[in-house]
Amino acid sequence: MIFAGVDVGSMSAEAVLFDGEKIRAHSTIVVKPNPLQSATIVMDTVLEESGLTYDDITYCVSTGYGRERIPFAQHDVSEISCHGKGAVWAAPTVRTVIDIGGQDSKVIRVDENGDMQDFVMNDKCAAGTGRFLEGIARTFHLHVSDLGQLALEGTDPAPINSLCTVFANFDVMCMLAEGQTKENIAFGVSNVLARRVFSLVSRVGLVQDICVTGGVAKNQGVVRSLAHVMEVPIQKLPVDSQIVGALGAALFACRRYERLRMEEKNLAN
Amino acid sequence: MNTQTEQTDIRPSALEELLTLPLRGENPYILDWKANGGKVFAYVCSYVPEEIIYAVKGVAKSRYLPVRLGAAGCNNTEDADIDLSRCLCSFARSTLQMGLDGAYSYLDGLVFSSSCEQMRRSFEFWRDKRHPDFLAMISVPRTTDTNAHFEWYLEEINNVRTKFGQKYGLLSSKAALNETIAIYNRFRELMLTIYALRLGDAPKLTGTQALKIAQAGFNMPKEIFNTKLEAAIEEIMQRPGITDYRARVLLAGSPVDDPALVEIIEGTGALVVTDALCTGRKFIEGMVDEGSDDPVRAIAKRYFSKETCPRMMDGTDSRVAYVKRLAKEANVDGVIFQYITFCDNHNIENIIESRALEKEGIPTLTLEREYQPKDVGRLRTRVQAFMERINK
Repeated sequence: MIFAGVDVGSMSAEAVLFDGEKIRAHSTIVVKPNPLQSATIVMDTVLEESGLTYDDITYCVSTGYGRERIPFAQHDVSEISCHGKGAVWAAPTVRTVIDIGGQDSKVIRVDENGDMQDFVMNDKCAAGTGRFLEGIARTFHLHVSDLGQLALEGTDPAPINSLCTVFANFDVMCMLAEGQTKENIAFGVSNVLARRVFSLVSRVGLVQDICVTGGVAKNQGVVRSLAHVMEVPIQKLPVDSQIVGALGAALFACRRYERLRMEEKNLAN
Repeated sequence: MNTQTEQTDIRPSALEELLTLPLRGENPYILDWKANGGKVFAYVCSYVPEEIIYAVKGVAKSRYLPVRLGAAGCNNTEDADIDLSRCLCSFARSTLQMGLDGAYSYLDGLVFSSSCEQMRRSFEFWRDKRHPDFLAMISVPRTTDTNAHFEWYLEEINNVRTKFGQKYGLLSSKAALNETIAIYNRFRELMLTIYALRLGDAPKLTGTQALKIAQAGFNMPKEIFNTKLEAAIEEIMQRPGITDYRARVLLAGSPVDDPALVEIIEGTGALVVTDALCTGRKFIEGMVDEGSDDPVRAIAKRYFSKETCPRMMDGTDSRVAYVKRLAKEANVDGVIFQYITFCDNHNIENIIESRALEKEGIPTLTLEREYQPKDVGRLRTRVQAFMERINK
């Protein structure tokens, strides 16, 4: 049996196929303007790669911003629950999940089953999200994925005071003009983001182990800063951090299918 | 069935009418009131006692109608933003925008209070840009625990009465005040019945519907509203209860007078069964002493001793206990706190109250929102996740 999860975010979309025990295939794309289009393309891709069709999917759960309008999904679950579920499946000792996405960052507390116990999300502000890093990368004429490596090469973090995406960019331009190195600025930017996220973590309460999911988890500069600011190690995930939401959705698809079958059985008896 | 009944059936029922009452310039009761020579005054916060406005009765033509200032349906704040920065509360900006747009052109005046700084400062732009016929400000003390503070508040209320008298030559008599008190106490009693009808396992109406009824109450003469509400309650009692909900929630935080927010919350399967809002439960709880020799004092007492707003320096413990009591009474599965961006008082209060409730095992969610909830997706994700937290 194949259980599918599809996660359409603000910047990327992912699909995961789960066979009840392991991940069969996964795929990630940059989002299209229309969430339905993104969901279809990413699902088409993952099915094609694994030689399967829509008919092979037993149950599909969607998550992310377009989750309610995906016609091939039977059910939708919030990305908050999905990230918790996916992370604990990938690393069972995890109890706190930091998901830094394109426009939302969230801290999710989970139990040993991956069920969400509490969560907190960022205020209505882009600071502390992937957008913040994108803006800085643009100022450097770099791709956002190169910012992490740059930060790791920094030795003395530049003091960035503004947490506002727009004004931090302004600070960065002034620093460049004053001769600060890109590396140290990138290091400083990672620290600012980490401090912002840490205040969210503190609201929920830090329970170990802690892991990072979402696109920004791939930014090793931010991960280093997070470990430094929180003074705890970050649990590495054995799966691509960006697919954790879609993985959680596939796991929910599996659980929901089993529950529905159980209900049917009970009704038949 | 005779033809007469069939004819009356064509008219909307009392309940239907309250649920769909048009706002502001399209509100038939406000239009009637004006057409009959009455005056309409808006007030901004639940520290402005409606009774002192409603009780003014000179000759029949000069009766006063208090309405609560709101901005449900406001689409943009571009004119208000010229004076009030976008880093200020969107409720203050939306209400001012409606004023600048002329949506409140039927108003004869406004009574402000120093409830919160952002609403208080919007007073100046109403004054300078709209030039209402009548404007008053009630300075509300920030502590409620001493007699001196109460006397200050009472004096402020009497100042507004005097100002009305100086402007229009009319003052409310003791008899008129006591009559008004009785009407308002009846209003509170009936509104509490609406809350009671939402307590059981199968609530008789949704939170959205309850808020629409409350909204009608803010915008109608209470005498007429009471009659309509009595009939509406009869109707509601006949309805089957609601059972297909995912979780029962209490709504708390910044003022909510626009059903749109509650609709978003209830769109996820949550059912708002009670609230701790100044536009909801806090507005109607607590009766005014009837038959008092000093009715203004009796009115002031009720408004000063009701459950406080977080703008007060004291009362945090009491407000926490209040939410806990309401949560227990309505057997809720969780509490949704919300604050309008830049609403300092409710933002901080949300955090304090939600921590206290979580400590007792009551799940809470805190939402940051704009007065006009346009970011539906953001809000839905948070509420849906909260539903998933409550029932796994």
